[in-house]
Amino acid sequence: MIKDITLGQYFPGNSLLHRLDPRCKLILVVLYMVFLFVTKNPWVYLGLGVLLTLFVLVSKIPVGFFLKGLKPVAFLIAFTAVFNLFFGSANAAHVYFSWGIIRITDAGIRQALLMAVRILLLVSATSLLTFTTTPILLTDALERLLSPLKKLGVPVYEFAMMMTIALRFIPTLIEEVDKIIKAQAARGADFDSGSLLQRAKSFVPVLVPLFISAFRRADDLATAMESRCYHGGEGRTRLRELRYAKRDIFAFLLFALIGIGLILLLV
Amino acid sequence: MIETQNLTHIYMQGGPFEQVALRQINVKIPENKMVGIIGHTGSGKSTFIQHLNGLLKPHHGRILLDGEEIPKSGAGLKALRFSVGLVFQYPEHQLFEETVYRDIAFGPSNMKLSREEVDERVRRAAKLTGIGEELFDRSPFELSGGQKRRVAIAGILAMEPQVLILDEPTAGLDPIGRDEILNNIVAIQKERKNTVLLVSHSMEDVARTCDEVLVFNHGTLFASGTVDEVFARSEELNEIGLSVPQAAKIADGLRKAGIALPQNLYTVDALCDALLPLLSQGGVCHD
Ligand SMILES: Nc1ncnc2c1ncn2[C@@H]1O[C@H](COP(=O)(O)OP(=O)(O)OP(=O)(O)O)[C@@H](O)[C@H]1O
Ligand SMILES: [Mg+2]
Repeated sequence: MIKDITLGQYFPGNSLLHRLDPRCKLILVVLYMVFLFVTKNPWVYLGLGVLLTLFVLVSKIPVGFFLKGLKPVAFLIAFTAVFNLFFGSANAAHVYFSWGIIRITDAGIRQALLMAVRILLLVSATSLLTFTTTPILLTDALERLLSPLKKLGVPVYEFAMMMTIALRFIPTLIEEVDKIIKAQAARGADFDSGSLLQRAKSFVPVLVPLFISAFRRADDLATAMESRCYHGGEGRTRLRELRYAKRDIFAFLLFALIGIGLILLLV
Repeated sequence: MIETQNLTHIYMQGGPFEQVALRQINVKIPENKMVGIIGHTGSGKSTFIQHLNGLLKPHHGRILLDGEEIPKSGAGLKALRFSVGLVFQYPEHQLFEETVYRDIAFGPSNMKLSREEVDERVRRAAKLTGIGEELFDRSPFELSGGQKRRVAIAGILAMEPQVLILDEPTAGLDPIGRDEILNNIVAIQKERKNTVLLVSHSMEDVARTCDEVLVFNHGTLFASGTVDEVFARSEELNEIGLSVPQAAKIADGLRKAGIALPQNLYTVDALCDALLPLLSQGGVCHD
């Protein structure tokens, strides 16, 4: 159940997508998000959807596994869609149904679909990034890309380190939750029956020990880092330096072309 | 009686780290027995026992308790958890309440017993596991590893389950504490006539306390039978990374040296009983 969450997980592999430079992937995902939000043209969304599907196929991640990873956000997508559907935009040509403040209109339907597709593609693109990039590489890339900000006094290295730790501990915390739930269930706590509210309530006693153990873990980690003489980014070298390769340049070119196409379409 | 039919469990099915932890386990566990479960690290022992109270669901196969398939949800599942008590391998994960007392009381409170009954059970369980009442108001997170383990065991004992499952209950305890807890468990088993499953890496403990043994190897059931039957296969056990109790090794060595000893010597006591008469005969050495 809870262990099925694959958010932020890495899926080991050696596909073209896995081997792309992480900086390149990060930039492409940001570009992809920009593409997603600059237009409302349904054809563009179809194109972006096809592009993403191609990338998923190239990554060699089993489609079923990929789709399963989207399940946790299905609720969010459904919620946004329904919200937009009922309380959709005011300037509608047709009103199909209206009751109190609830109005279903043609514009509302369009808006609902648009938001659903946007969120779906957004989440898919980012999870494709984390599926094909190890957390270490991801934060390396982030640090390198943000390093100009160091001149402005932004603690980029520390941010990157925090992100590494956060990503590293997502699976650990999920495991922890699983263990606490099991320990309580083994002594008769009820997690899977009752109304939604009751079920939500039964998770409160899970949170307290979770926080306690998270703090203890943080403490242990700090001690471990301290005792290995950890200190910030100054003067630290890397085992693996990031280097752009030809495939990265091709990827950039591909996205540049798509960008130019979009701009032509918009003007 | 607990019975499993073709029990198979796969962790992270369909994912990149898919792992078949149990493969077609068919086993019958008789009532009113101490049953030891041994097997190398990662052989599937913990996975197996978590199926018996419905914490893990099998991917194939079924689990029968007294001839009926165990419930998968609802009130039946809750009742199952009270009749099959499970002490986890790592006790610190099992404790979550604010005080030791409330932690031990968590199970019985969920059973809708009267307050007095809960209180009585908590005190009885604490006594059996050697937890002094002065610890009742402490946070379970401030205890030592061994104390945590005792509290975890007490929390399950307080439910007075018909089937008691203990996953390495004595790991990390000092020798006296270990014997004390094991002896108490044996005593409880005799008194309440329940079934006890004991997962252990200590062949001595298994030989000393158990009637039957299940041997797991890479997610399959390698052997099962009485203690005598299983430990008689010492060579096979060695091959899968296990061993026989020290006393059995000594007996084996003495037999090879030409001393006539009976079979079935697996505990220190049994070995002593066999050797002492020989000694009083004035020695049996050949040269
Ligand atoms: N929560 C989990 N997620 C994924 N794989 C797991 C999980 N728990 C166990 N496994 C895997 O399943 C296999 C069996 O594990 P299990 O914990 O049942 O072994 P065990 O016999 O109890 O070992 P030990 O003697 O070390 O306690 C191992 O290969 C382990 O890596
Ligand atoms: Mg185990």
